[in-house]
Amino acid sequence: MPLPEQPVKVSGLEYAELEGLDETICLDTEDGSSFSLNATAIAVLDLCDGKRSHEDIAAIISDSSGAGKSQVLRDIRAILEQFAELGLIYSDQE
Amino acid sequence: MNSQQLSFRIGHIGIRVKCEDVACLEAIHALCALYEPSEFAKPTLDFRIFSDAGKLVLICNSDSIWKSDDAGEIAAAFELSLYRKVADSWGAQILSLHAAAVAACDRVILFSGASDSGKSSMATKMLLEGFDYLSDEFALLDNSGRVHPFPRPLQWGKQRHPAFTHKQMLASNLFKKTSYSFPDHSGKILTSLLWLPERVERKPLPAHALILPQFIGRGGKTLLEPIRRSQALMELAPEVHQQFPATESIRLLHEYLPDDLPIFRLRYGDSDSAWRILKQENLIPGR
Repeated sequence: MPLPEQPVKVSGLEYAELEGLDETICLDTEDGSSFSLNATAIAVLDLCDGKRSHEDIAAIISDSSGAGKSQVLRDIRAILEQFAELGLIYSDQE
Repeated sequence: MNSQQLSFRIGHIGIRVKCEDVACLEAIHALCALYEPSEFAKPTLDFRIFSDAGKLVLICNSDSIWKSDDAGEIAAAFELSLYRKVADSWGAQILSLHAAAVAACDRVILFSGASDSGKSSMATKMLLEGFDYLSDEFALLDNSGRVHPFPRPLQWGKQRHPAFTHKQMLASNLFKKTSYSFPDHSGKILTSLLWLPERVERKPLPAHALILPQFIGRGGKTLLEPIRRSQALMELAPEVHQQFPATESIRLLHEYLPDDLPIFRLRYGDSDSAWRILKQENLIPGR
């Protein structure tokens, strides 16, 4: 599946934030699966609203972290590819 | 018929059982033999078994639970009801995890996982090595990192244990064997073997290590590897007995399991090699 240009986070995800751990556990209430994500990955996932492009998401993450935009964009695309493999994002465009 | 009474505690839950039927009482004595005797003016769970119109009736705190003319069936209903009602009575003080718990040197090793993962086999092996028994099914965690005993009898469901013979168990002098019989839904009489460890821990103790066992079949190579806490929490969330949403179970497990608790996955093909590797990795307290 090609990476959606303006990805949408699937519905039915719940988070369990764990004090003292640099991870948040994410549960898919649709199929019962669970996985742990770091804070950046959670931020990226929450920015997948079907309106923002990869570049838009990268700009927001870059502004908040102070990291270089081109490197952040590469990292965002890698994260989005993993999300797509896990079925966490989809495209709502025809 | 004289009424007989048992009074005991599981964690902070006080339980009293009054029973008028001799055969039923014998089975209930066997099922409750390992719990800590304790008197309560007003127990949390007050079971009564009495005869009414030719049938035995089981009630708890005035709620009718079961009626039958078979004492074994009433004992089986009592056992199920006891576990369910105790689990419902914990409140926020206790998190009940599906795990076997054994102790040495006042430290508890927990074996947790789904049914048939090998928890009871590992717990039995540890008991044969001289550990003290807390539970084969219910590890009661409090939020100070301690495990409270819930020493129900070990039950294997079948006449034979996959890993240990009756001879081996009895020759150890570390177990007593008893049984009770009850009819299944078709009326066929089933006999459940109960193994009563001689060494039962009575006090809550701190957790020393959490092992997620996975029996991989005889001959499989035994492997012990540390696993990430978040991974363990995800795997253990379905093993919490209380009916919380999964995210709440994960959050509570994170709160109730000590931050520095070592967590390992144990893939094993036989309990002897698993025991050796736990010793090699210094996961056996005091040895």
